[in-house]
Amino acid sequence: MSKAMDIAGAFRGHEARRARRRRMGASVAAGALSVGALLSAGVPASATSRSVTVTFWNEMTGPYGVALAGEIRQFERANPGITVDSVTIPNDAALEPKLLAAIVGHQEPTLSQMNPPWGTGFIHTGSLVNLSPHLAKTSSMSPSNFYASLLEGGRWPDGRQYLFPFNVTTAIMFYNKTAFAKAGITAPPKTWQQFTADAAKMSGGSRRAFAITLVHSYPWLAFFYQAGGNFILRDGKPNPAAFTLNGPAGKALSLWATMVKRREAVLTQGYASQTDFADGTSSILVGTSAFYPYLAQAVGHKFTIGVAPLPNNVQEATSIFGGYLGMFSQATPAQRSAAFKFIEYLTSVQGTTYWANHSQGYLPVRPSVVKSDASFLATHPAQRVSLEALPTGKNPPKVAWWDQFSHQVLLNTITAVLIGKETVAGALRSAYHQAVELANRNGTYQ
Amino acid sequence: MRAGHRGAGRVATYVVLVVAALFAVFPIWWIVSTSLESPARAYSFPAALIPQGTAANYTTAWQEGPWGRFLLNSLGIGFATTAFVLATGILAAYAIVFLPSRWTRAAFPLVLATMMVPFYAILVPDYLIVRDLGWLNTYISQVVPFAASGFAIFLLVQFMRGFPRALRDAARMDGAGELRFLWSVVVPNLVPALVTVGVYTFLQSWNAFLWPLIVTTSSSVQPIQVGLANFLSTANGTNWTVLAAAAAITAAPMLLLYVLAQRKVVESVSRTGLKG
Repeated sequence: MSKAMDIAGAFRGHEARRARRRRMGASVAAGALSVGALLSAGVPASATSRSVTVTFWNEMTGPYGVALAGEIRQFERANPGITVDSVTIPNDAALEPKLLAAIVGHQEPTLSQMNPPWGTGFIHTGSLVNLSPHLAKTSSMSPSNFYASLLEGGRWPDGRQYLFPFNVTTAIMFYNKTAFAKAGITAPPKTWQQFTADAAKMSGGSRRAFAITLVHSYPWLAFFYQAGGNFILRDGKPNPAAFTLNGPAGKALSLWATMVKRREAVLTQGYASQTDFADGTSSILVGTSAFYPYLAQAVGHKFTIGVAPLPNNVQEATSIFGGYLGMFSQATPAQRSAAFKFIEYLTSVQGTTYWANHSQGYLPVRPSVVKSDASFLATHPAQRVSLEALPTGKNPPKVAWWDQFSHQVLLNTITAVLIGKETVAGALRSAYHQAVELANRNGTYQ
Repeated sequence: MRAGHRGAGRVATYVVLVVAALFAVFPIWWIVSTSLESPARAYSFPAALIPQGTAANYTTAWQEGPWGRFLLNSLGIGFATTAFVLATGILAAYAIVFLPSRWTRAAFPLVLATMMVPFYAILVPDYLIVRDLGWLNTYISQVVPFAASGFAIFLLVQFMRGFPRALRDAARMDGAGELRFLWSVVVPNLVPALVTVGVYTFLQSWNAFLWPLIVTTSSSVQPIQVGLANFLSTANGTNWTVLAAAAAITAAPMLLLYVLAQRKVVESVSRTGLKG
């Protein structure tokens, strides 16, 4: 009975609070109604009164986004019946799963930026449009008008051009001219031997001359190609000779590992290598011409940034890196036609000149830009060096297992060796087995 | 002598607390400090702790994205998700604890099982369902899939199981039905657990990135984390000073919310025994 009284007392005790809660409840209900109104307002956002809309997914953030917006404005002005709905997705790690989910759900954009290694899987599912017939019909899009190595990046072994180069560049070397001069070095290194010797002169204390970026595998792959490397056999399977200790991968990996061990190089997280370079704790950075706007801003007037081709080993080589344009087969004929016009515009002399000038880092895809605008090379040092390196550029392989291999296996292998967790030989042996496993599972050219 | 020991102990306690506070505050100070720096000064070694005081990064960050819209979206999605999770959690937990039957007994292990399925495993099926419902690029697609939470139900069940059985019997004697008992007795005594679930759910919703990125394409419905990602990591580099300004803008509402609800949050954590 006393328990029942206590409970009754507790009930009475709640009365005052309940009145307060009722008022709160009313506020919550009003809030919920507002939220409901907010939710019901969630209509698809691409409604437009124009006749054709091209949805374009891309990774153009920051200065690149501003440049792309300028391109789109010019294109829409010249083509009043077409609207380009640009959707910015921050990076590869976000764009790839978004595209995969869209393909599974048949919700693809009309056009998307993508890395060529993704293309093989998309072609296999019938998601990508073969652009070759469109190109054959348009004289301005003749292959001879473009840099051959850039076009090759979007062409598959059967000769079909599924992708078209857009935001592409090559791996190059940035160096701190002031630090080089202080160390008595008059020119950037041209060979691996000079590279390690120069790095040794500029290292010591808390300084490591070479700041390694491993957000992508292309900086290391450039060294691998210089050592004569090729990971892919003619049938698309992994090449065992590339993975041996004395082979190209062993040589490139040993070079970096030795430099880290001697405290001449440091492995950085994300783009911390740019921070190290800009604050002067490192003096050499391997990246692409698209690093330039970030570096120029971060360095300011602290020192002079030098740009040079990468030092070579058995051959001159660099990696081609960047995004290509792919059209999805889900698009209506009108959208395909409009999207092709947009590709044509972006890669036209006008479009690619604007892009190369305003994006501050990517390359024009037509040689005629450089020929017609003599001042371009003088005012864009990083792009000049990238263009000079282009003839020796190697495109990422198009086998279906490459994407996962280069982003996971290869990066893990390099990291494991550089942090001393594995030996070069052991890491490469494991990488080869994983490559074979991936090739068996994901296929080659399919 | 004993007083001397007590004094020394107190000093040691304060020293530890001050050091801990510095550890907690330093990252926030670092973000604010970087956001007020020019890029060249921010990229200098050793770094300057006192910022130059330029607001240009905030102007740039604010111009590069519809932050007001992102903030409103995140707040709306967060509050709606939290409200749904609390409502479904309370009702489900009540049924499991106070209305036992073979169905509710079977349901509880299933609820627990939902906590063990990785989100990535259901990403594509969820995407297809949302597409079939015509919810792509809407707020609804960011709320409804998370409107019930296994964690919330589990926590509330554990809390409700601690209620004395006599409480319900007494309420019955006073003529209270199930809803009356739930609303007038259970919910008021559940406040610490509800605050915990609410804060946890809101933070989960606030920090959501991959799902909103997959199901939305327009900034008019995207949350703040998707907007922030455009600064965080691009294919070529990061503009740290502008990113810091954007991070400060996005963190401000959560910090403000924490300051306002600090007492309840601390109370709820201490009463539920949950940490972090």
